[in-house]
Amino acid sequence: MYKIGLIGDRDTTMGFRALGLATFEVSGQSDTEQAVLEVMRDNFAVVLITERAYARVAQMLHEHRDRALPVYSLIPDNQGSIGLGQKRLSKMIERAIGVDILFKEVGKN
Amino acid sequence: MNLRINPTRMELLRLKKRVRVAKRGHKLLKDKRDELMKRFMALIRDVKNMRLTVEKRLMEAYRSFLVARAVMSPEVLEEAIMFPTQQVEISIKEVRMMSIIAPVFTLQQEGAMYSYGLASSSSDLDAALDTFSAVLPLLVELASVERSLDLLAEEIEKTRRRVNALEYVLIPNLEKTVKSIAMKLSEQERAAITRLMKIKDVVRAK
Repeated sequence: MYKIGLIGDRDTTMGFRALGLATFEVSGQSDTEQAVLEVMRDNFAVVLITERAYARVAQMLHEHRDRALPVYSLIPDNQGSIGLGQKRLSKMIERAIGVDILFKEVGKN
Repeated sequence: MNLRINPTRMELLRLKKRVRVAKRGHKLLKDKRDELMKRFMALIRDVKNMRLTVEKRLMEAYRSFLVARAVMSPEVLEEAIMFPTQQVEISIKEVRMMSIIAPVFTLQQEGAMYSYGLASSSSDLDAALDTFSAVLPLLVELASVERSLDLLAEEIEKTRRRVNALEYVLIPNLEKTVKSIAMKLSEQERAAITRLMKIKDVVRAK
């Protein structure tokens, strides 16, 4: 059995903690990195991570992108989305097809 | 660019075989790329819409939680959700699809969701937790399909590279080499024939 985790700021983690998710409350650079390391050590299948937290550790996660688990899923925090989740999606499209056909207005141009 | 290979009949046969294999591989890989592309296109639109709805639902959940927070004192709220009685776990099933292994997550929720007494908490908190709980399966599903999409994209990229390498590098090279060996061989043959004719002339002249 695998666990679900959530890395995010205090307001975001609070609501999900009641549901039984393993939450990591982060606010800065080092504690976000710490949370990611912890998540990688344990057997998490899905890690929800707020876009703002993801932006802090994007480089780090990129280095570990060969790992099958956990799967990181971007969620907006309670201040709204900053578009990273959709950007990641449009990156995938660009990689597969060559041009972004769905999010033209979000991507460049 | 020709491959550096001795122009012998053996090599010619070997190379011709390689061309055949390469062409067959090229066709297969091209078919694979097309099929991957088809699946990718089928998925992508759904995933995009799913992401947009999930993000919207999540914002609603945050909003309702905010309401709950507003009507309860921070200490009581903290106390209420400090020790969750519900446990969520995920089981993973692997689905093989076109040489990629995609994970499919199933969410299992156990135990009571409301980890607090009814007396001290407000009903807004119940509502907020309800919305969070409704979003969670969607989030897990989104994670799984986005993962498959990512894997698909990677596989498409890889396959496309292979197709192009075969089409524009390997096959032309092989064919050129086959041609040059065939030319060299026929040149040798012609040389042998003229030599024979010359010898015949010399012999007859005696």
